[in-house]
Amino acid sequence: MKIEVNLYASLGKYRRSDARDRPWAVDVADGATVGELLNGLGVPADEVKMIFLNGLHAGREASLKEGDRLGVFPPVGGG
Amino acid sequence: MDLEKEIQQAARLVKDPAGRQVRVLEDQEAVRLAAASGLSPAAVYETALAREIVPYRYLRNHECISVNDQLRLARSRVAVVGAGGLGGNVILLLARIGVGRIVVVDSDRFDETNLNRQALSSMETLGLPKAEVAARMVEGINPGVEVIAHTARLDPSNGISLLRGTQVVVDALDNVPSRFALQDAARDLNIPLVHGAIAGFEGQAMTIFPEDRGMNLLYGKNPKGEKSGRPTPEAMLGVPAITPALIAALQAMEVLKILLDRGRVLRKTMLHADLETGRIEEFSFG
Repeated sequence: MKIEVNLYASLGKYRRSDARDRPWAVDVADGATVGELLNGLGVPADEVKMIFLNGLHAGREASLKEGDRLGVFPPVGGG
Repeated sequence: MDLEKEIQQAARLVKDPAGRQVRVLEDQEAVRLAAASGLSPAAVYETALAREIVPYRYLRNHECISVNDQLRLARSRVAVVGAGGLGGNVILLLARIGVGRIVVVDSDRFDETNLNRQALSSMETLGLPKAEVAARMVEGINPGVEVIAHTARLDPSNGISLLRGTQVVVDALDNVPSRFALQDAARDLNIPLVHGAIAGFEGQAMTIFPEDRGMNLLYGKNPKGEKSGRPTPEAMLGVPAITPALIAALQAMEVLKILLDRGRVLRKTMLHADLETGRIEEFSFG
């Protein structure tokens, strides 16, 4: 199934797509969790502070389904 | 002297751009009456607004901020913690919109690397304490706004005394441990906190009420100054001028909405902007 993955701020370096201005669709096995997807992309768990599924706060254990939009944030703290 | 009578005499009738008649008091008169009465220009503005006389400088606020709301702003006290990239812009916006008292807390002085983004920094202010520069700049923009400047670092020992008496606190800090100390103080004082943070061309804003989980949702556990061993996102992506200008505008609007009890406050909702892609999204904490 395909998941739209959005890696924000400094997590953008783990994005394997050149087109920053287009959604990035990632293929994962049916029933995969957020954590499994992020591990597969090589995003270190300790760089992730917030996860959102379809705009709602979620955890690494959340199950994914076809067409989900995933948003992942590091701890942005600049001013 | 009878200040109210003097204000009534000094006021004049003008038409606003929509053709409506408005009684106004020009700054020249407000400053003269302040000097003659021994009061601050802020006190003169308040007295005028209470009689539905609009300080002339606010004529173009008038269409979206009623006289009564302008008076509420004049009587408000807001703290801005951090007077750098976010804070400098927030302070200037709150001063122009007419928030009567702004408490500014920052322990730093301006240096050359601040010039790329910090609205209060200039060649002339290099080396000077940021909080004091804020007071001087605001005085030049709006004499009806009083800045209470604290050249201090907010920490668990002084947060409550620095922020006491304010109705809203703006988080314009540049590091995570200080944001937790600020949240603790705002909770103890039972006042809302308007968070903003930036990294590169991305930024986020959210309002945190005392009972909300706030920073714990945004940053996990309080790092208490411990280094994770990794550079922060903002260290890797930089902090260019455009991002703090946008996030500061969102923060100033949150302050306005809270003070005037209008609009939709971004509570338990983080607004995220990516200026490079032009995407602005909301993320909900339920």
